[in-house]
Amino acid sequence: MIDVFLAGPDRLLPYLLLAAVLFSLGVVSVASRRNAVGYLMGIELMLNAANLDFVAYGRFRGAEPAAEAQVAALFVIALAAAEAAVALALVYAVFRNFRDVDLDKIRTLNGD
Amino acid sequence: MDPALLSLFCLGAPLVVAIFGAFAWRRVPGIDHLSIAAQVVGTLSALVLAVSAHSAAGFSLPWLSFPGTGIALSLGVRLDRLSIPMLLVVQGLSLGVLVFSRWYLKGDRFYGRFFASFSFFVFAMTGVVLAPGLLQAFVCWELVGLGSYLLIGYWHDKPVVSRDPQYQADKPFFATGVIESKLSPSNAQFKAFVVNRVGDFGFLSGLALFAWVVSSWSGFRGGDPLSWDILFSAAGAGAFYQASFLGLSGPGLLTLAGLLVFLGAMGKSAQFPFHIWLPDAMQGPTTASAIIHAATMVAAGVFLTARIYPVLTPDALTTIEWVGAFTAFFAATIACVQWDYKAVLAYSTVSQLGYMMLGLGAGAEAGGYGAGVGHLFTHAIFKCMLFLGAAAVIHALHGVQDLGRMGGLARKMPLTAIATGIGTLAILGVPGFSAFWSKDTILAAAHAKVYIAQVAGTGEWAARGPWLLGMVTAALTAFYMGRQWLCAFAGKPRDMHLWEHAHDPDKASVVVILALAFLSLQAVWTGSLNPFGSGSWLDGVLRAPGGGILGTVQALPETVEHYLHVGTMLWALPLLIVGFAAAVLLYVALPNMGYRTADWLRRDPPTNLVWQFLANLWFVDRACDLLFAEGLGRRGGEAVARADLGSGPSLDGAVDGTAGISVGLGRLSNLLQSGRSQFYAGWSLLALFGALAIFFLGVR
Amino acid sequence: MNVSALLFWPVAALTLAGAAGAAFARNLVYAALSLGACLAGVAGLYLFLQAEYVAVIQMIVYVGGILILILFGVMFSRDVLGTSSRPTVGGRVLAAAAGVAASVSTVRLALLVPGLRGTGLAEVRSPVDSWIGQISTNSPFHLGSLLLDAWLVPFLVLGVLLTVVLVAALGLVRKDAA
Repeated sequence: MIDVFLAGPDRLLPYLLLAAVLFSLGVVSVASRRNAVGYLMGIELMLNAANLDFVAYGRFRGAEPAAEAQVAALFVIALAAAEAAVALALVYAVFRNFRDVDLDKIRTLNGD
Repeated sequence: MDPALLSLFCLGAPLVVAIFGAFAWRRVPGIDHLSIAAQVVGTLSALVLAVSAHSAAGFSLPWLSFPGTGIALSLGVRLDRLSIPMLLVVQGLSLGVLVFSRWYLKGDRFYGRFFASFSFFVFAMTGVVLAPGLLQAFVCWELVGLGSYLLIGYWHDKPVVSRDPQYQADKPFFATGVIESKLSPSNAQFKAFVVNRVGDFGFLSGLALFAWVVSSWSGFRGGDPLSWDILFSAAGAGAFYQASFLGLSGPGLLTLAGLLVFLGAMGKSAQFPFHIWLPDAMQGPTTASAIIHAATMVAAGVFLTARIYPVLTPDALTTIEWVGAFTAFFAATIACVQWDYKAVLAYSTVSQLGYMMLGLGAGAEAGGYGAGVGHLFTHAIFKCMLFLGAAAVIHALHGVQDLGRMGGLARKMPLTAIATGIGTLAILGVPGFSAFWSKDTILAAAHAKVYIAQVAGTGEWAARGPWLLGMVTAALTAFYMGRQWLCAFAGKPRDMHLWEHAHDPDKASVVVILALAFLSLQAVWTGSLNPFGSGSWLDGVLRAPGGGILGTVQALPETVEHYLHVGTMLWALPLLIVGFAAAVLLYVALPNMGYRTADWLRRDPPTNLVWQFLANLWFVDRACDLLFAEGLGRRGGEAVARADLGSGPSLDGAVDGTAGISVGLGRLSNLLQSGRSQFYAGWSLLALFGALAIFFLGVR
Repeated sequence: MNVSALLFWPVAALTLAGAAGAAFARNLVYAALSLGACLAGVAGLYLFLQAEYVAVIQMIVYVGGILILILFGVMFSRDVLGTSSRPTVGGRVLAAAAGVAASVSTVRLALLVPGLRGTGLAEVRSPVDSWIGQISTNSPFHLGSLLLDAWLVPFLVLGVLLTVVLVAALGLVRKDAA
């Protein structure tokens, strides 16, 4: 396995592992951040990790890098932008209502 | 004329009147005439049948068929030497009682309903008598129960006697046995029905057992397994050896089946401990009692036992004999301390029914069949007449039934006194009267059974018991029946006001009573004064039926029979005289000494304990009340209510608990809904990736 | 060992560091800027993967657009410095568990892909090589023709989606006309 690591950018595994770590960090962020914007940062991290996976697989699939993978990555970026726009509009609306974006304080859906 | 058609008249006429009367008794007057007309038709048909039919006849129509098994249960009519005389007795006595009832119930508020119910009862009883098999017997048996229910509860709106001022004013001074807070016509009709139902459970079980064994017998060729012919031939050919139930087979199984059916007979014929309904049934009109509790319904049990005679094993017969003997003794002891005129007659009926069962149980070889059946017929007539006499007395005294307020009525009601006197002499067993012949034959049969057991070397002490009890009971019977007649009709009147207004019933009723009294003379039955003469028309009736497991019955040799009969007579007559003499002494000849003796017996130990025991009816009624009415009924009902609705462990609590579990689970799940987005996201991501991790870790 | 191998590891490290900062930094501005560094690092990784067009788009859209949006969002926070908004203990445990589960599953999945150990599937090509000569499959020309040919429908739908999102965002921030 050491040789795989030392091989660097022309092996698939490092990219996959990196994407895995990025994804996990995104999950941690989503599960623990109290601030709504911090929450959104976690989502962006996850999306990027997925994108990285897409492109990495595309690169190492055959003799030439697959164009479809990159097209998919482009789509994901566009969608991430759209989603970020909507999310931040939501955050703004929430801020207007609660004057705060602390997720621990925004608990109107509380079951009790 | 076709005998089967004639029998249909006996069945159909009362039924038609009953159905019509059920709907019309309030609006149409004259139901009584219709009933009597139907009864005349029935009695005439029965007479023609009795005179003309010389061999078994009848028909059966298949009613319930079970395709594929060949079983077709049937209904129909069977006329043979047992059912025709019984039919005549039922129809004839019913006619007499109906005529009497017109006088007795005149002006009653439910007048028409009595006659409609009565006709229904006669129809049902005729159905039992004419049944071609166990099935129709059972069906009509239940209908008889319904008929007696209707008749006992005739005055259904009367309150319990503890709240009835008329009863409280008139009741005898020493009435202690009756549970007054629970005695009323509606309770009594219920009690009769329920107690009979318990016996009927046995009947139905026995019936099912018979049907199963016979239909699975290898020789069964289709038809009605419960019809007498097929049933007896199957039993005789060993059908019961081919089946096995609860580990019993062969004779044991047959004994079980026979005794189960006998349970039904115990219910209807008021054998201990199923007798408790009969004294309470005195809540109904006395004329109803005359027919139900003297002649027909209670006789149905004896009739059924006689019918299934060919399938009763010796063990079953011994059991029947003991049950009958004990019942006879037990009821006689209670009758000795009763002060209510009808109660004495009620317990006397129970006692005589015990005698009949004693007779039947003695076995065919000992002449028991003939003895039991003979007493069945004679008792029907004289007991019916005694009850009608009671009705006359009670009517004359405006409802008073207390022996302690009667006396000297013979001067005011001579014809009634003569008739009831004849009946009392009959039941005592005085020579020259019918029951002398029938009762002594029973005792002789019991003695013969002892002799047979001695010869066979087994079961002698089992046979001695019933014979002893029968003898003792004869003495007691003489005492209490003599006491009753003497207290009512002889001596000085104890209540002058009542005595003044006493009178005989109207002409038609008197004719009925005297006719029945005539039939209580012995000559009518045996054709001579010799009680043991043969050759009378009864011989054909009283010969034990062959077939079944009896085969042909071997009668005892003549000399032995003669010796036994004479021996019995020599024992019975002195006992009778002793009993009757005691009654005369205590109540007529030396009344003061009588009172002092009675008082002393009642108050001082140890006899006061005996008196309490007897007066409280051996505590059987109280025990049944505690066990079943209070215990099972009320406590059981409360327990069920508590189990259903109560606080604490109950059905209701279980339902609430289930709901509580749901609520608890809901509260638990509530914790997951904290409202925090990162919480939701964290948990869902953990769940998703946890599952995926487990999945991927397992993949090669 | 060549130049690209040497450069690869720092870029990867930058990406990782940026991600960690975005996840754990308490000061929100630091977190946002770390996220920016992470995004830039990812763009660099795209260059290593011969997805040059995607790398550029990543820089423009993500770093130049989304990151700015996030910084605007940070301004709405009361607690920018992050002194009072700390996750609860339970929340941290939950987050750690979720993260572990996610990492285990994704790493395991990664290790499942065949052809990783030693036998590379692709030739080694440096980014420099592809500038010379023919139009390669990852060129913008090729990507564009794909978008308008095989992937036309998703492309158009994406356009509609962006319009909808635009309108929606405007609608969300509008003050309610009472």
